[in-house]
Amino acid sequence: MILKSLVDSYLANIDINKEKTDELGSSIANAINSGDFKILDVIINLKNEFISEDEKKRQQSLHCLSNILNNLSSATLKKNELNVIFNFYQSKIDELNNMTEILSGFNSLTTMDSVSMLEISTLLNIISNEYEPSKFLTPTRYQTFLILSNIIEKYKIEMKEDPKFLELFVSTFLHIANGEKDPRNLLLSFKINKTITTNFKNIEQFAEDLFDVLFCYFPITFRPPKDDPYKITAEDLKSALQSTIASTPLFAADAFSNLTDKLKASSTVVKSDTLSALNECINNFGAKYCLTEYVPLWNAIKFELMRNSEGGDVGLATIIPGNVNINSDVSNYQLAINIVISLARVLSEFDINAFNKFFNYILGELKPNFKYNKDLKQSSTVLSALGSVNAQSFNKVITNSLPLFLQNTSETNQLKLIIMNLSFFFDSYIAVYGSAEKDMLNNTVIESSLTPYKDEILMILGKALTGSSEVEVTLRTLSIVQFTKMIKMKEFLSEEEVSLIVQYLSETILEDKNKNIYYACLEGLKVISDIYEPIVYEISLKRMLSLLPNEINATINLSEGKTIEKELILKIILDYTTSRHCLVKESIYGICEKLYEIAPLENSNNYCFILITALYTLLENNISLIKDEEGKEIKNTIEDRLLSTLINNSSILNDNHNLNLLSIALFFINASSDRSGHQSALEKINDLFIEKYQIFNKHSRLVIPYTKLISGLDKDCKFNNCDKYFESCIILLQKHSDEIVQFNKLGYLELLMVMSNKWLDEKYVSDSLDNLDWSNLSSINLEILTWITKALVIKNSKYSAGPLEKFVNLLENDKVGDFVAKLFEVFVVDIGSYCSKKGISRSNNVKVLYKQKFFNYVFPEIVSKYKLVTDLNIKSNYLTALSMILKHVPNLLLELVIQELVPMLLEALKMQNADVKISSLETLNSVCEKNSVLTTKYFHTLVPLLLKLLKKSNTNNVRVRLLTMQLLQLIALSVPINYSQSMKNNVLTELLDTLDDPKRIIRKKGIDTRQIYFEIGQTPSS
Amino acid sequence: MKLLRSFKLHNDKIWSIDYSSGLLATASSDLRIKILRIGDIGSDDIDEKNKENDDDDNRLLDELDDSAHKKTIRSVAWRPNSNILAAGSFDSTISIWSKEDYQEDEVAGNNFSMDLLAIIEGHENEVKSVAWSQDGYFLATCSRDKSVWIWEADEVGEEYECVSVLQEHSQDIKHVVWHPTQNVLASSSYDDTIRVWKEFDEDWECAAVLNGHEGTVWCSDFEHSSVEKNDSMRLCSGSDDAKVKVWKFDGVNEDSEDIWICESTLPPVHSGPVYSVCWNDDGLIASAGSDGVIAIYKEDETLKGKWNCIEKNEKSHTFFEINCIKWIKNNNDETLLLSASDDGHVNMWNVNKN
Amino acid sequence: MSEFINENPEILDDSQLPTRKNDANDLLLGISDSIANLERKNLLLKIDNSVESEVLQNIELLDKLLALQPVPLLVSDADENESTDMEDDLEESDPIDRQEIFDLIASISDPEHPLSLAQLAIVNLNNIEVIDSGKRDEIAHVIVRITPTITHCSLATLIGLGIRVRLERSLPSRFRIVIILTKGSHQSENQVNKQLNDKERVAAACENPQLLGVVSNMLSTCK
Repeated sequence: MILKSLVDSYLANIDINKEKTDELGSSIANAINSGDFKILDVIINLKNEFISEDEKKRQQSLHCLSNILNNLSSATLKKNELNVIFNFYQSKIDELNNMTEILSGFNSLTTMDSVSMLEISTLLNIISNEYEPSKFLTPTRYQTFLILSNIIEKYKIEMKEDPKFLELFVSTFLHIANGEKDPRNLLLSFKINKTITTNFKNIEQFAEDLFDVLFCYFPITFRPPKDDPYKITAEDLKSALQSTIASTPLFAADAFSNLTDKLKASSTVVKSDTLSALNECINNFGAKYCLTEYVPLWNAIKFELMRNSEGGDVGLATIIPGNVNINSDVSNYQLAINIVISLARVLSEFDINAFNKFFNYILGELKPNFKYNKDLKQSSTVLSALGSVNAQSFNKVITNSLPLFLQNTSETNQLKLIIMNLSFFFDSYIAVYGSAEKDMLNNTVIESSLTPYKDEILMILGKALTGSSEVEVTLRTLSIVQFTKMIKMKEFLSEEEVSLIVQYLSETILEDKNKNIYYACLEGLKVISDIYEPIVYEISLKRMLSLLPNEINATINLSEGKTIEKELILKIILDYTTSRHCLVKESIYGICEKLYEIAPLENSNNYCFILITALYTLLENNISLIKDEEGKEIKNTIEDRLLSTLINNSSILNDNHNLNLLSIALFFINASSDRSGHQSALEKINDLFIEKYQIFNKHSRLVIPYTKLISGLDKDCKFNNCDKYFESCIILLQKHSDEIVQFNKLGYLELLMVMSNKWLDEKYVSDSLDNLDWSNLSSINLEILTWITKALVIKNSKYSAGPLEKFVNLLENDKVGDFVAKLFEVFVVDIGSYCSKKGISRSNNVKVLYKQKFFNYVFPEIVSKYKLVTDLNIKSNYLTALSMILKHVPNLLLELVIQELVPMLLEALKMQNADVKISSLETLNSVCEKNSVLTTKYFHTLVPLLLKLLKKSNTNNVRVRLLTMQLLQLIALSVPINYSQSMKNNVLTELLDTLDDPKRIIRKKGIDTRQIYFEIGQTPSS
Repeated sequence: MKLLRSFKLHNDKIWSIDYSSGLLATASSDLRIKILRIGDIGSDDIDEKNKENDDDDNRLLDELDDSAHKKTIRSVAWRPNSNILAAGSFDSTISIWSKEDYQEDEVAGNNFSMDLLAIIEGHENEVKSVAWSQDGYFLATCSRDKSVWIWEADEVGEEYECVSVLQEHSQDIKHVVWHPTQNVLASSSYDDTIRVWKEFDEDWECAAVLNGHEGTVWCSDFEHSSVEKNDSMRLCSGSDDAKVKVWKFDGVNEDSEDIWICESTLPPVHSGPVYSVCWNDDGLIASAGSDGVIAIYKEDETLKGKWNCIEKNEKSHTFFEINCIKWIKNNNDETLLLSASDDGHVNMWNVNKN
Repeated sequence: MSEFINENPEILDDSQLPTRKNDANDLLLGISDSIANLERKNLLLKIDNSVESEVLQNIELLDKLLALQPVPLLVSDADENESTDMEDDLEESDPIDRQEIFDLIASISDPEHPLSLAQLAIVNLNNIEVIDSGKRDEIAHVIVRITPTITHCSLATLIGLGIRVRLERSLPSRFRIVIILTKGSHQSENQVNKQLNDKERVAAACENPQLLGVVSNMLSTCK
């Protein structure tokens, strides 16, 4: 009863509500699976429809039945049941309009457990004899492909055992596959085809047909329709087709001949499809077939390989393994090369003689090229490709190829060619033997057929490098690059040979003036030191260091009367040692040694300066690299001696730059050294400077190294009597303020800052600030206050607000206001040895965002006061203070206040004070860079103001004039053209004066600026 | 010689000026033509105070519509006894401007204005010079297209009919000038020659070619002798070769061609190209050019054809080049000298006659 | 210019061209500096040629802080009340010399090759002459002799024009510019010379949009 209604509602919903029918279909099926009804009940319920006159009704009933079957589990049907249904469908087979339903019914049956071989064969016969694919639409045909793929998956064994059955199946397949066009069906067709060819022997008699039904689609192109329900891509079809063609050696003969034939096509797309198909074939069919086919194959791809000009960079092509399936965007040239490689691999893996045959054939063809110098690049690439698959092939290739071109010549172009060709074979070596890695000293050298040529190659490259004239930049660069490549070749060079190359490179980098060569060598040395750092140290670095003379003005002689400046040597050292542990360390030591030598000499200040600069830069560049242990070692090795050199030599001690920089170098050494030693270090330092040298009793330049040294130490170190020294420091400054020189004073002020930021409790610091006399406006007192306040500011201390407010108020003091304004820079200026750097954070209490906090507090204060006062000098004080700050705050902050700021800056341009103008201009420049809208807004007020600043005067000094023009340029580029147009001629005329400015740098700027304005509104044509 | 006034009129080169009945007209690269009232200024007018409260602005009567020409205005010329001005431009056209019934006294009020009457087209490229014949009947124009065109103008100056195109120069023609009393035309050229043109029954023909300069001839001017006789006709010329020459008509040869001879080459004064020469009623020749020098030459009373330089005024426009000089007569019939320069200034000079 | 008039000219490597040696000011934006400091900075730039150099920043920080002194002592303000001549001595003046002229025109690009006039040796230092008293109110002269890549180079005039425009825009008005071809470097040497130095023709050429377009392309590479 229920079944009846289900079936009826199914029929009712057909073509109206698919969800519904599917749902009904499966629920009926489930009921049957669970034995509530039998399938026969369904048939009974549908009886009338089955036999109805009404075509439609019959179709609906079949639809229902097939759907149910489709949902049945394979175990449900009993043999006899299935047989009944099978015959039922068979009886319907002439109802062509219902073919889809019928076939899908059959399809379901084939998947049932109880289906018999007999029924399967019958079905196959039915399909091949009574079903004519061309008569039916895609969905219908699809069913047949489904049926066949189900069958072959299910009956492999049977087919293996029963050739008749297999034969029946294959012929059925060929029957339905012929002339198929639909992509979804094709995918199935290819799949079945492949399954056939890859699973069964003795199908030779079908091979040709199977191939034809396949290859007729090659090369396949397909543009998926929009909203394609099956989401089939052209790639799917391509690769399915390709892999099927390549699936069996049975196809070999046909495949090769047909494909090579297709290569004649002009379309590059067809070509690339064909080439990659060929490649896959070669890899799958195996040597036997390749052996018979390589000649035609080679002839077919020869054109691709020889005509191609991109030869140069395919060196790396040879490395790509041929068996990875190629993505379509690889160039045909690459594909062709891959074929060569695949052939070489397959053959040589099969039998080296086979490979030799192949190789000799190609060699025979290419030889003449070397004789007549034609297509050398291409020929070498092919040969090196052949040699890139394994040691055997490599050796064969090398022994036969190198003699073709490797020869001793001094003819430049000849050399170029030789070296270029060599590089391809180097690549094959790397492809075969791999590339060298670090720590492969005392390496065993691989005996390859390239080995005997090593000396000659080295000789040729050496000649190209040293023998050729200065002008031959290309040739020399080439040889450097190849030298470097040889280094990369695993276990190719002996240590001695590497050393030789290092020697070449370091001599060249020293002697050659051309910058390309310089960078080539630099790169080379870097690569080498990645692998053979010790050798580079022994051969190169030591040499460089030894070149640094021991007298002040000695000229450094290289070979053949060439000379070099010591500065350049240091530059080289800095350039190639970076981030190479051993090299960095040794350079540091070496340079220190030199410094010990030089410092005592008469007027050696400048020499010391560059050495110290180098030392500084080495430490600064590699601070992150130098880890605790290493840091410790470095510290132990050099610190004491450096310190005493610093103290005992006036060339350093009495030279501001030298003293300052070397002190910072010492700071780095401490900061990067293992912290466990810091406590003792601090005590040692204190003994030396406080006890021995009494820096707190009489002012001394030694305060600078002292300050820097302790800046580097861990802030958790215990500093006894820090407060005591802090006070004596203040007293010292106040007492001797008149005789103490600016430089030393700075040292003590910085020291105050360091102490109070690092070791003194902030409450204590702020108290001592309060106790200091704020009414004493002597510059020294103000500076003391400033630097101590800075200590609080940079640690975001809550106590900083009070003092800052006092400073803001001091700005309106007509005596010291302008000085205080300048002091504001101190609060935000970053001191290299004392800021929140990575790795040294534990050395100080500098908060990352302190500037933000400081700015947010000070800016509004100043602005509001600025607006109140009328006195120009006072105004200018506020502005100066502001611009001093603005120079150092991140632009992000600037953005927030810009609207308020700009009008003030414009006003500043009118004030008769160079510094104010400069600071205002600097700020305006950075504003203009970022905010073109704002620039446009103020355009008409700004430009006339600027034009006034171009006239040379003592408040329009060089810097002002430069910045003004800088700004004019920026404006021209950032405002809309109708704006700049309007001012164009005016600006051009006003700029005329700058063309006759006494300062060249101004003239230059003036010219550039005018150029920009001339170009406004011009449309360059050509 | 003494500087009386310096008028800053343009932001770019002034190429050419012309003066008539108290009015100065200027031609400049800035595409503008300016009309200035200067007739009242005289040599005695040395009172500093005058100069101060005398600003160019209330002298400036009009600035002609700068949309008339697309490129540099190269040359201006007043039509004799009228208020009609012709201007030639690098845009290859000539514009004609006029101010009807203009009285001196009107000037105070700024109701002076000139209107565009006509634009004459015909030249292929840059017009280099324009000049009216003494009777105002003909207008001569020349161009880089190697041709001199002679136009016939109607009374009111609206209609222009080309009566002749003279194409015998082998190069760019720099300058044309009419004889002060006769319908004789002289043209100076980049081909280093000067050609003299005359009318032979309704048609214009080249009467003579003056060879001798070793560089572009930039300018020439006829002697203002009141004598009507041909035989005294003389012409001075200035050239890129830094020389100033005086040429003399020397009768007619058998082929009835005029014969001109180079009577004298004036004493070397200039160190660069001479861009402008001018001959005044008192027989003085003035020359000026690239070197910023204004030179005045006087002919020896006794020995005709012998010239002496009686003035050499350097840095007449600081270090700028002088493109044009003109002798003028002010309202009190005093002869003064005007110079126009790259610096956009027109300077007014008083030159003593000996 | 689809067809090259000279297909393969001689080319000089940039490194071979004459340049003004270590003009540190350019890099350091002419911060008026004690000679000593400049010397130091020059040394430094030889070792580490970048303004970001930490050392440089340190040196400048030091100078800055040292300059932080109460007003009366400040050097820059010291000459506030001095006359401008005083300033002149402070900013010692650099004469306009042939190197400066060379630098102005060297990087103009050739109308047909993607190369600079200097690389093509069309202009070179020794063929430039400067006559200048240095006085601001006196006429000065620059003579540039150019050598076209080939003697029938029809672009000689264009190149010359490019150079003239560049110089007229770059030099003070008191300079008279003469541009001529080196002797025998061109078939129609005289015509070209005459044209290049005809004030009126040059002026007209500069009002010709096409020409000006080409020229500004040539000048667009000027550094």
